[in-house]
Amino acid sequence: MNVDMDTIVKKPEAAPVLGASGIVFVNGSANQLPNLPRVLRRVVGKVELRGSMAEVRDSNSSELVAVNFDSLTAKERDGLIRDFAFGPGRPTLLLLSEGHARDYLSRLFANHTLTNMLVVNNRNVDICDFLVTIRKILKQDIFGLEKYFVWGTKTHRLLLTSSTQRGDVLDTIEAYCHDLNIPRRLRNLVVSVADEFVTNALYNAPVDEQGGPRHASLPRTEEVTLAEGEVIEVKLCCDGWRFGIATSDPFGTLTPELLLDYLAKCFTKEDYQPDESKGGAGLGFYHIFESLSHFIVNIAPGKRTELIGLLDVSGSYRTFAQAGKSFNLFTGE
Amino acid sequence: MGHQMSWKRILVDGQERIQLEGSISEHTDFRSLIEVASDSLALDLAHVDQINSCGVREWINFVNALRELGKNLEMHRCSPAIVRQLNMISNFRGDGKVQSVLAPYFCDACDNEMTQIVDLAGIESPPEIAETLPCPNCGEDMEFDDLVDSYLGFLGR
Ligand SMILES: [Zn+2]
Repeated sequence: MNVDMDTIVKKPEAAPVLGASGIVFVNGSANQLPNLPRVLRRVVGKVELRGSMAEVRDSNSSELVAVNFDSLTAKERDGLIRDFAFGPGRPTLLLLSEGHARDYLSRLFANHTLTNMLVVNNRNVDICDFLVTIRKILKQDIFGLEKYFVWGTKTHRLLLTSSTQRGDVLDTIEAYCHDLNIPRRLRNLVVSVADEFVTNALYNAPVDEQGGPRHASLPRTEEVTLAEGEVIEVKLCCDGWRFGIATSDPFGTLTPELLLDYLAKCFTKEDYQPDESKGGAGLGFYHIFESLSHFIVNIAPGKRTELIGLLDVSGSYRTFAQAGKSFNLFTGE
Repeated sequence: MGHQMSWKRILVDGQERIQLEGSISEHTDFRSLIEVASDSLALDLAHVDQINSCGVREWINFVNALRELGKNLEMHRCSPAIVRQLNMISNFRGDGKVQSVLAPYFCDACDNEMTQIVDLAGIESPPEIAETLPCPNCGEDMEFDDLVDSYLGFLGR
Protein backbone atom coordinates (compact mmCIF):
# COMPACT_ATOMS: atom_id res chain seq x y z
CA MET A 1 0.00 0.00 0.00
CA ASN A 2 1.30 3.44 -0.91
CA VAL A 3 1.04 5.78 2.05
CA ASP A 4 0.73 9.50 1.38
CA MET A 5 2.32 11.18 4.42
CA ASP A 6 0.54 14.44 3.66
CA THR A 7 -2.81 12.70 3.99
CA ILE A 8 -1.89 11.20 7.33
CA VAL A 9 -1.15 14.49 8.97
CA LYS A 10 -3.31 16.89 6.98
CA LYS A 11 -6.00 18.70 8.97
CA PRO A 12 -9.47 17.93 7.53
CA GLU A 13 -11.40 20.74 5.88
CA ALA A 14 -13.67 22.36 8.50
CA ALA A 15 -16.24 23.58 6.01
CA PRO A 16 -17.07 20.30 4.39
CA VAL A 17 -20.37 20.92 2.60
CA LEU A 18 -21.16 24.49 1.63
CA GLY A 19 -17.63 25.86 1.65
CA ALA A 20 -17.11 29.60 1.57
CA SER A 21 -20.68 30.57 0.62
CA GLY A 22 -22.02 29.09 3.84
CA ILE A 23 -25.58 29.17 5.05
CA VAL A 24 -27.66 32.03 6.37
CA PHE A 25 -29.71 30.89 9.33
CA VAL A 26 -32.64 32.99 10.53
CA ASN A 27 -33.38 31.83 14.04
CA GLY A 28 -35.50 34.74 15.28
CA SER A 29 -34.93 36.69 18.42
CA ALA A 30 -36.19 33.92 20.70
CA ASN A 31 -33.36 31.64 19.56
CA GLN A 32 -35.68 28.66 19.72
CA LEU A 33 -33.19 26.21 18.25
CA PRO A 34 -30.22 27.03 20.48
CA ASN A 35 -27.97 24.11 19.55
CA LEU A 36 -28.53 24.16 15.83
CA PRO A 37 -26.09 26.96 14.83
CA ARG A 38 -23.22 25.15 16.56
CA VAL A 39 -24.13 21.84 14.96
CA LEU A 40 -24.52 23.48 11.55
CA ARG A 41 -21.10 25.12 11.80
CA ARG A 42 -19.53 21.72 12.31
CA VAL A 43 -21.26 20.06 9.39
CA VAL A 44 -21.83 22.77 6.77
CA GLY A 45 -19.07 25.27 7.52
CA LYS A 46 -19.84 28.98 7.61
CA VAL A 47 -23.13 29.93 9.30
CA GLU A 48 -24.31 33.54 9.28
CA LEU A 49 -26.89 34.02 12.01
CA ARG A 50 -29.74 36.47 11.47
CA GLY A 51 -32.35 37.55 13.99
CA SER A 52 -35.04 38.54 11.52
CA MET A 53 -36.06 38.21 7.90
CA ALA A 54 -35.24 41.89 7.31
CA GLU A 55 -31.55 41.11 7.76
CA VAL A 56 -31.64 38.42 5.07
CA ARG A 57 -31.90 40.85 2.16
CA ASP A 58 -28.26 41.80 2.61
CA SER A 59 -27.11 38.19 2.29
CA ASN A 60 -26.94 37.75 -1.44
CA SER A 61 -23.72 35.78 -1.26
CA SER A 62 -25.28 32.68 0.24
CA GLU A 63 -26.83 29.90 -1.80
CA LEU A 64 -29.00 28.74 1.04
CA VAL A 65 -31.17 30.51 3.60
CA ALA A 66 -32.52 28.31 6.39
CA VAL A 67 -35.37 29.88 8.36
CA ASN A 68 -36.75 28.77 11.70
CA PHE A 69 -40.31 29.55 10.64
CA ASP A 70 -41.79 29.10 14.10
CA SER A 71 -39.53 31.85 15.49
CA LEU A 72 -40.92 34.48 13.09
CA THR A 73 -43.66 36.92 14.01
CA ALA A 74 -46.90 36.81 12.00
CA LYS A 75 -45.74 39.95 10.20
CA GLU A 76 -42.39 38.38 9.34
CA ARG A 77 -44.12 35.25 8.06
CA ASP A 78 -46.27 37.36 5.75
CA GLY A 79 -43.16 39.24 4.69
CA LEU A 80 -41.33 36.02 3.93
CA ILE A 81 -44.12 34.85 1.67
CA ARG A 82 -44.44 38.25 -0.02
CA ASP A 83 -40.79 39.18 -0.43
CA PHE A 84 -38.68 36.07 -0.56
CA ALA A 85 -39.16 35.47 -4.25
CA PHE A 86 -36.22 37.73 -5.03
CA GLY A 87 -36.32 36.61 -8.63
CA PRO A 88 -33.68 34.66 -10.53
CA GLY A 89 -30.59 33.87 -8.52
CA ARG A 90 -32.30 34.10 -5.18
CA PRO A 91 -30.95 31.70 -2.57
CA THR A 92 -32.78 28.45 -1.96
CA LEU A 93 -35.10 28.65 1.03
CA LEU A 94 -35.14 25.88 3.60
CA LEU A 95 -37.95 26.19 6.14
CA LEU A 96 -37.57 24.58 9.54
CA SER A 97 -40.84 24.20 11.42
CA GLU A 98 -42.46 22.14 14.10
CA GLY A 99 -45.77 22.43 12.29
CA HIS A 100 -46.69 26.10 12.48
CA ALA A 101 -46.07 26.56 8.76
CA ARG A 102 -49.20 24.58 8.00
CA ASP A 103 -51.56 27.56 7.84
CA TYR A 104 -49.19 29.24 5.37
CA LEU A 105 -48.68 26.28 3.03
CA SER A 106 -51.20 27.37 0.44
CA ARG A 107 -49.48 30.75 -0.04
CA LEU A 108 -45.95 29.32 0.21
CA PHE A 109 -46.71 26.76 -2.49
CA ALA A 110 -48.63 29.25 -4.63
CA ASN A 111 -45.70 31.62 -5.13
CA HIS A 112 -43.32 28.67 -5.60
CA THR A 113 -41.24 29.76 -2.60
CA LEU A 114 -41.48 26.52 -0.72
CA THR A 115 -39.43 23.68 -2.13
CA ASN A 116 -37.71 22.59 1.08
CA MET A 117 -39.23 22.20 4.53
CA LEU A 118 -37.85 20.06 7.33
CA VAL A 119 -39.66 19.22 10.53
CA VAL A 120 -38.31 20.32 13.91
CA ASN A 121 -38.72 17.84 16.74
CA ASN A 122 -37.75 18.50 20.34
CA ARG A 123 -36.06 21.75 19.31
CA ASN A 124 -33.79 20.04 16.82
CA VAL A 125 -33.73 18.86 13.25
CA ASP A 126 -32.66 15.40 12.13
CA ILE A 127 -29.09 16.14 11.10
CA CYS A 128 -28.99 13.26 8.58
CA ASP A 129 -32.04 14.59 6.74
CA PHE A 130 -30.57 18.09 6.96
CA LEU A 131 -27.28 17.04 5.36
CA VAL A 132 -29.00 15.01 2.65
CA THR A 133 -31.20 18.02 1.90
CA ILE A 134 -28.24 20.41 1.62
CA ARG A 135 -26.28 18.04 -0.61
CA LYS A 136 -29.30 17.66 -2.85
CA ILE A 137 -29.95 21.42 -2.94
CA LEU A 138 -26.40 21.67 -4.30
CA LYS A 139 -27.59 19.22 -6.97
CA GLN A 140 -25.27 16.48 -5.87
CA ASP A 141 -26.84 13.19 -6.87
CA ILE A 142 -30.50 13.83 -6.03
CA PHE A 143 -31.92 10.33 -6.61
CA GLY A 144 -32.26 7.39 -4.25
CA LEU A 145 -34.41 6.24 -1.35
CA GLU A 146 -31.33 4.78 0.34
CA LYS A 147 -30.00 8.25 1.22
CA TYR A 148 -32.65 8.53 3.93
CA PHE A 149 -31.68 5.30 5.69
CA VAL A 150 -28.58 4.20 7.50
CA TRP A 151 -26.21 1.81 5.85
CA GLY A 152 -27.34 -1.77 6.36
CA THR A 153 -31.05 -1.14 5.91
CA LYS A 154 -32.30 -3.56 3.30
CA THR A 155 -34.05 -2.16 0.23
CA HIS A 156 -36.62 -4.26 -1.65
CA ARG A 157 -37.35 -3.68 -5.29
CA LEU A 158 -40.47 -4.35 -7.37
CA LEU A 159 -40.92 -3.62 -11.08
CA LEU A 160 -44.04 -3.03 -13.11
CA THR A 161 -44.85 -2.22 -16.71
CA SER A 162 -48.65 -2.36 -16.78
CA SER A 163 -51.67 -1.27 -14.74
CA THR A 164 -52.69 -4.94 -14.51
CA GLN A 165 -49.79 -5.45 -12.07
CA ARG A 166 -50.87 -2.59 -9.78
CA GLY A 167 -53.12 -4.71 -7.57
CA ASP A 168 -50.40 -7.32 -7.03
CA VAL A 169 -47.82 -4.64 -6.19
CA LEU A 170 -50.14 -3.02 -3.62
CA ASP A 171 -51.03 -6.41 -2.11
CA THR A 172 -47.32 -7.22 -1.82
CA ILE A 173 -46.62 -3.91 -0.08
CA GLU A 174 -49.52 -4.43 2.33
CA ALA A 175 -48.35 -7.97 3.14
CA TYR A 176 -44.81 -6.68 3.75
CA CYS A 177 -46.12 -3.98 6.15
CA HIS A 178 -48.22 -6.62 7.87
CA ASP A 179 -45.13 -8.82 8.35
CA LEU A 180 -43.36 -5.80 9.87
CA ASN A 181 -46.24 -5.49 12.37
CA ILE A 182 -47.01 -1.92 11.32
CA PRO A 183 -50.35 -0.85 12.90
CA ARG A 184 -53.31 -1.06 10.56
CA ARG A 185 -53.96 2.68 10.18
CA LEU A 186 -50.31 3.34 9.29
CA ARG A 187 -50.32 0.35 6.95
CA ASN A 188 -53.33 1.85 5.16
CA LEU A 189 -51.37 5.09 4.71
CA VAL A 190 -48.40 3.25 3.16
CA VAL A 191 -50.67 1.38 0.74
CA SER A 192 -52.62 4.51 -0.20
CA VAL A 193 -49.38 6.38 -0.91
CA ALA A 194 -48.13 3.44 -2.99
CA ASP A 195 -51.43 3.49 -4.88
CA GLU A 196 -51.10 7.22 -5.69
CA PHE A 197 -47.38 6.88 -6.59
CA VAL A 198 -47.95 3.97 -8.98
CA THR A 199 -51.07 5.53 -10.52
CA ASN A 200 -49.12 8.72 -11.14
CA ALA A 201 -46.25 6.81 -12.77
CA LEU A 202 -48.57 4.77 -15.00
CA TYR A 203 -51.12 7.42 -16.02
CA ASN A 204 -49.68 10.91 -15.56
CA ALA A 205 -45.99 10.43 -16.29
CA PRO A 206 -45.83 8.66 -19.68
CA VAL A 207 -45.44 10.89 -22.72
CA ASP A 208 -45.26 10.17 -26.42
CA GLU A 209 -42.35 11.06 -28.72
CA GLN A 210 -43.66 14.61 -29.12
CA GLY A 211 -43.83 15.02 -25.35
CA GLY A 212 -47.64 14.86 -25.25
CA PRO A 213 -49.38 12.96 -22.46
CA ARG A 214 -49.99 9.33 -23.37
CA HIS A 215 -52.45 8.16 -20.69
CA ALA A 216 -53.33 11.24 -18.62
CA SER A 217 -56.84 11.66 -20.00
CA LEU A 218 -57.79 7.99 -19.67
CA PRO A 219 -60.03 6.80 -16.83
CA ARG A 220 -57.94 5.07 -14.16
CA THR A 221 -60.02 1.96 -14.72
CA GLU A 222 -58.66 1.63 -18.25
CA GLU A 223 -55.75 -0.76 -18.66
CA VAL A 224 -52.46 0.83 -19.72
CA THR A 225 -49.14 -0.78 -20.61
CA LEU A 226 -45.79 0.94 -20.98
CA ALA A 227 -43.71 0.65 -24.16
CA GLU A 228 -40.91 -1.85 -24.45
CA GLY A 229 -37.94 -0.91 -22.29
CA GLU A 230 -39.99 1.38 -20.04
CA VAL A 231 -40.21 0.19 -16.45
CA ILE A 232 -41.53 1.65 -13.21
CA GLU A 233 -39.41 0.77 -10.23
CA VAL A 234 -40.87 0.59 -6.73
CA LYS A 235 -38.53 0.48 -3.73
CA LEU A 236 -39.39 -0.29 -0.12
CA CYS A 237 -37.23 0.21 2.94
CA CYS A 238 -37.81 0.12 6.71
CA ASP A 239 -35.33 0.68 9.54
CA GLY A 240 -37.91 -0.01 12.22
CA TRP A 241 -38.53 3.68 12.88
CA ARG A 242 -39.62 4.83 9.51
CA PHE A 243 -40.95 3.21 6.39
CA GLY A 244 -39.79 4.38 2.99
CA ILE A 245 -41.40 3.88 -0.38
CA ALA A 246 -40.21 5.23 -3.73
CA THR A 247 -41.36 4.99 -7.31
CA SER A 248 -39.21 5.95 -10.23
CA ASP A 249 -40.47 6.48 -13.78
CA PRO A 250 -38.31 6.99 -16.90
CA PHE A 251 -40.15 10.11 -18.12
CA GLY A 252 -39.37 13.12 -15.91
CA THR A 253 -42.51 14.95 -17.02
CA LEU A 254 -43.69 16.33 -13.69
CA THR A 255 -42.66 19.98 -13.39
CA PRO A 256 -41.97 21.74 -10.06
CA GLU A 257 -44.44 24.50 -10.97
CA LEU A 258 -47.24 22.05 -11.67
CA LEU A 259 -46.67 20.15 -8.41
CA LEU A 260 -46.51 23.33 -6.31
CA ASP A 261 -49.65 24.70 -7.99
CA TYR A 262 -51.49 21.43 -7.32
CA LEU A 263 -50.54 21.54 -3.65
CA ALA A 264 -51.35 25.24 -3.32
CA LYS A 265 -54.83 24.64 -4.69
CA CYS A 266 -55.55 21.76 -2.31
CA PHE A 267 -54.35 23.67 0.76
CA THR A 268 -56.68 26.59 0.04
CA LYS A 269 -59.41 24.26 1.40
CA GLU A 270 -61.83 25.36 -1.26
CA ASP A 271 -64.53 22.88 -2.21
CA TYR A 272 -63.15 20.17 -4.44
CA GLN A 273 -64.71 20.15 -7.89
CA PRO A 274 -64.08 16.93 -9.82
CA ASP A 275 -62.81 17.71 -13.30
CA GLU A 276 -63.81 14.97 -15.72
CA SER A 277 -61.23 16.01 -18.29
CA LYS A 278 -58.28 15.46 -15.98
CA GLY A 279 -57.04 12.47 -14.06
CA GLY A 280 -57.12 14.23 -10.71
CA ALA A 281 -53.36 14.28 -10.15
CA GLY A 282 -53.66 17.35 -7.94
CA LEU A 283 -55.83 15.63 -5.38
CA GLY A 284 -53.49 12.64 -5.56
CA PHE A 285 -50.49 14.77 -4.52
CA TYR A 286 -52.52 16.32 -1.69
CA HIS A 287 -53.36 12.81 -0.46
CA ILE A 288 -49.71 11.83 -0.68
CA PHE A 289 -48.54 14.92 1.23
CA GLU A 290 -51.09 14.39 3.99
CA SER A 291 -50.31 10.68 4.33
CA LEU A 292 -46.57 11.03 4.90
CA SER A 293 -44.09 12.37 7.43
CA HIS A 294 -41.75 13.39 4.61
CA PHE A 295 -42.52 13.71 0.89
CA ILE A 296 -39.60 14.08 -1.50
CA VAL A 297 -39.81 14.68 -5.24
CA ASN A 298 -36.73 14.30 -7.46
CA ILE A 299 -36.97 15.36 -11.08
CA ALA A 300 -34.50 15.06 -13.93
CA PRO A 301 -36.55 16.83 -16.63
CA GLY A 302 -37.34 14.56 -19.56
CA LYS A 303 -35.45 11.67 -18.00
CA ARG A 304 -36.73 10.54 -14.66
CA THR A 305 -39.10 11.38 -11.79
CA GLU A 306 -38.69 9.77 -8.41
CA LEU A 307 -41.34 10.16 -5.70
CA ILE A 308 -40.16 9.21 -2.21
CA GLY A 309 -42.39 8.85 0.83
CA LEU A 310 -41.18 8.42 4.40
CA LEU A 311 -43.61 7.56 7.17
CA ASP A 312 -42.91 7.52 10.90
CA VAL A 313 -43.95 4.04 12.01
CA SER A 314 -42.19 4.20 15.39
CA GLY A 315 -45.48 4.51 17.28
CA SER A 316 -49.18 4.69 16.54
CA TYR A 317 -51.11 6.72 13.95
CA ARG A 318 -51.39 9.45 16.58
CA THR A 319 -47.58 9.68 16.85
CA PHE A 320 -47.45 10.21 13.10
CA ALA A 321 -50.33 12.71 13.08
CA GLN A 322 -48.93 14.82 15.94
CA ALA A 323 -45.62 15.46 14.20
CA GLY A 324 -45.02 18.13 11.56
CA LYS A 325 -44.24 17.39 7.95
CA SER A 326 -41.16 17.61 5.78
CA PHE A 327 -41.18 18.27 2.05
CA ASN A 328 -38.46 18.53 -0.58
CA LEU A 329 -38.53 19.17 -4.29
CA PHE A 330 -35.28 18.80 -6.22
CA THR A 331 -34.46 19.12 -9.87
CA GLY A 332 -31.18 17.90 -11.28
CA GLU A 333 -29.63 15.51 -13.71
CA MET B 1 -54.88 -3.14 -1.45
CA GLY B 2 -58.20 -3.21 0.35
CA HIS B 3 -60.82 -5.16 -1.57
CA GLN B 4 -63.19 -3.33 -3.84
CA MET B 5 -66.31 -1.86 -2.35
CA SER B 6 -69.43 -3.95 -1.93
CA TRP B 7 -72.71 -3.17 -0.15
CA LYS B 8 -75.58 -4.90 1.60
CA ARG B 9 -78.80 -3.92 3.37
CA ILE B 10 -78.87 -4.04 7.17
CA LEU B 11 -81.59 -3.21 9.68
CA VAL B 12 -80.66 -1.03 12.69
CA ASP B 13 -83.39 -0.10 15.21
CA GLY B 14 -86.01 -0.54 12.52
CA GLN B 15 -84.19 1.67 10.01
CA GLU B 16 -82.88 0.18 6.80
CA ARG B 17 -79.30 1.14 6.12
CA ILE B 18 -76.90 0.30 3.35
CA GLN B 19 -73.62 -0.96 4.71
CA LEU B 20 -70.58 -0.30 2.53
CA GLU B 21 -67.49 -2.44 2.85
CA GLY B 22 -63.98 -2.26 1.38
CA SER B 23 -62.12 0.47 -0.51
CA ILE B 24 -63.61 3.38 -2.41
CA SER B 25 -61.55 3.84 -5.56
CA GLU B 26 -61.79 4.43 -9.30
CA HIS B 27 -63.48 1.00 -9.51
CA THR B 28 -66.36 2.01 -7.25
CA ASP B 29 -69.63 2.46 -9.10
CA PHE B 30 -72.23 4.29 -7.00
CA ARG B 31 -74.99 4.12 -9.61
CA SER B 32 -76.69 1.11 -8.03
CA LEU B 33 -76.77 2.94 -4.67
CA ILE B 34 -78.40 5.98 -6.21
CA GLU B 35 -81.03 3.69 -7.70
CA VAL B 36 -81.91 1.99 -4.38
CA ALA B 37 -82.28 5.33 -2.58
CA SER B 38 -85.94 6.38 -2.42
CA ASP B 39 -86.21 9.87 -0.97
CA SER B 40 -83.32 9.25 1.40
CA LEU B 41 -80.31 7.01 1.87
CA ALA B 42 -78.82 5.93 5.21
CA LEU B 43 -75.27 4.63 4.83
CA ASP B 44 -73.29 2.64 7.38
CA LEU B 45 -69.64 3.47 6.70
CA ALA B 46 -67.92 1.53 9.51
CA HIS B 47 -66.26 -0.91 7.14
CA VAL B 48 -64.86 1.50 4.54
CA ASP B 49 -61.15 1.07 5.16
CA GLN B 50 -59.57 3.13 2.38
CA ILE B 51 -60.39 5.89 -0.10
CA ASN B 52 -57.89 6.94 -2.73
CA SER B 53 -57.96 10.24 -4.63
CA CYS B 54 -59.93 8.71 -7.52
CA GLY B 55 -62.34 7.32 -4.93
CA VAL B 56 -62.83 10.83 -3.50
CA ARG B 57 -63.79 11.95 -6.97
CA GLU B 58 -66.35 9.15 -7.35
CA TRP B 59 -67.74 9.90 -3.88
CA ILE B 60 -68.11 13.65 -4.55
CA ASN B 61 -69.91 12.90 -7.81
CA PHE B 62 -72.17 10.51 -5.85
CA VAL B 63 -73.13 13.03 -3.12
CA ASN B 64 -73.61 15.71 -5.77
CA ALA B 65 -75.93 13.38 -7.72
CA LEU B 66 -77.98 12.69 -4.57
CA ARG B 67 -78.31 16.43 -3.99
CA GLU B 68 -79.45 17.05 -7.57
CA LEU B 69 -82.07 14.30 -7.24
CA GLY B 70 -83.28 15.80 -3.97
CA LYS B 71 -82.40 12.68 -1.97
CA ASN B 72 -81.25 13.06 1.63
CA LEU B 73 -78.07 11.34 2.81
CA GLU B 74 -77.37 10.15 6.34
CA MET B 75 -73.86 8.94 7.22
CA HIS B 76 -73.70 6.53 10.15
CA ARG B 77 -70.66 5.06 11.96
CA CYS B 78 -68.14 6.83 9.69
CA SER B 79 -64.85 4.90 9.81
CA PRO B 80 -61.59 6.74 10.60
CA ALA B 81 -60.83 6.62 6.85
CA ILE B 82 -64.09 8.50 6.14
CA VAL B 83 -63.48 10.99 8.98
CA ARG B 84 -60.04 11.70 7.51
CA GLN B 85 -61.66 12.66 4.20
CA LEU B 86 -64.34 14.73 5.96
CA ASN B 87 -61.52 16.74 7.51
CA MET B 88 -59.39 16.96 4.35
CA ILE B 89 -62.04 17.73 1.72
CA SER B 90 -64.41 20.53 2.70
CA ASN B 91 -67.33 19.34 0.54
CA PHE B 92 -66.84 15.61 1.11
CA ARG B 93 -70.21 15.12 2.84
CA GLY B 94 -72.12 17.30 0.35
CA ASP B 95 -75.56 17.83 1.93
CA GLY B 96 -75.17 14.61 3.92
CA LYS B 97 -75.71 14.56 7.69
CA VAL B 98 -73.04 12.84 9.74
CA GLN B 99 -75.00 10.97 12.42
CA SER B 100 -72.09 9.17 14.10
CA VAL B 101 -68.41 8.41 13.69
CA LEU B 102 -66.05 5.74 14.97
CA ALA B 103 -63.19 6.93 17.19
CA PRO B 104 -60.03 4.78 16.85
CA TYR B 105 -58.05 3.49 19.87
CA PHE B 106 -54.64 1.83 20.01
CA CYS B 107 -53.04 -0.14 22.84
CA ASP B 108 -49.31 0.43 23.09
CA ALA B 109 -48.93 -2.54 25.40
CA CYS B 110 -50.43 -5.26 23.19
CA ASP B 111 -50.96 -3.53 19.78
CA ASN B 112 -54.72 -4.01 20.05
CA GLU B 113 -56.80 -1.71 17.85
CA MET B 114 -60.49 -0.96 18.24
CA THR B 115 -63.09 1.73 17.63
CA GLN B 116 -65.77 3.35 19.78
CA ILE B 117 -68.91 4.97 18.40
CA VAL B 118 -69.37 8.73 18.91
CA ASP B 119 -72.96 9.86 18.44
CA LEU B 120 -73.40 13.19 16.66
CA ALA B 121 -77.14 13.16 15.91
CA GLY B 122 -78.87 16.27 17.19
CA ILE B 123 -75.87 17.56 19.16
CA GLU B 124 -75.33 21.29 19.74
CA SER B 125 -71.56 21.24 20.07
CA PRO B 126 -68.88 18.60 19.36
CA PRO B 127 -68.87 15.92 22.07
CA GLU B 128 -65.77 15.14 24.14
CA ILE B 129 -63.75 12.19 22.89
CA ALA B 130 -62.32 9.96 25.65
CA GLU B 131 -58.51 10.17 25.55
CA THR B 132 -58.14 6.66 26.95
CA LEU B 133 -60.19 3.48 27.32
CA PRO B 134 -59.30 0.26 29.14
CA CYS B 135 -57.96 -2.33 26.69
CA PRO B 136 -60.31 -5.33 26.61
CA ASN B 137 -57.32 -7.45 25.64
CA CYS B 138 -54.72 -6.64 28.32
CA GLY B 139 -56.36 -4.17 30.72
CA GLU B 140 -53.84 -1.35 30.05
CA ASP B 141 -55.01 2.06 28.84
CA MET B 142 -55.71 2.34 25.12
CA GLU B 143 -55.01 5.80 23.68
CA PHE B 144 -57.27 7.63 21.28
CA ASP B 145 -55.34 7.07 18.04
CA ASP B 146 -55.77 10.45 16.36
CA LEU B 147 -55.75 14.12 17.32
CA VAL B 148 -58.42 14.87 19.93
CA ASP B 149 -58.57 18.55 19.00
CA SER B 150 -59.15 18.05 15.30
CA TYR B 151 -60.79 14.64 14.78
CA LEU B 152 -64.23 16.22 14.76
CA GLY B 153 -62.93 19.41 13.11
CA PHE B 154 -65.27 18.93 10.13
CA LEU B 155 -68.25 19.71 12.42
CA GLY B 156 -67.11 23.30 12.72
CA ARG B 157 -67.40 23.93 9.00
ZN1 LIG C 1 -53.85 -4.01 25.27
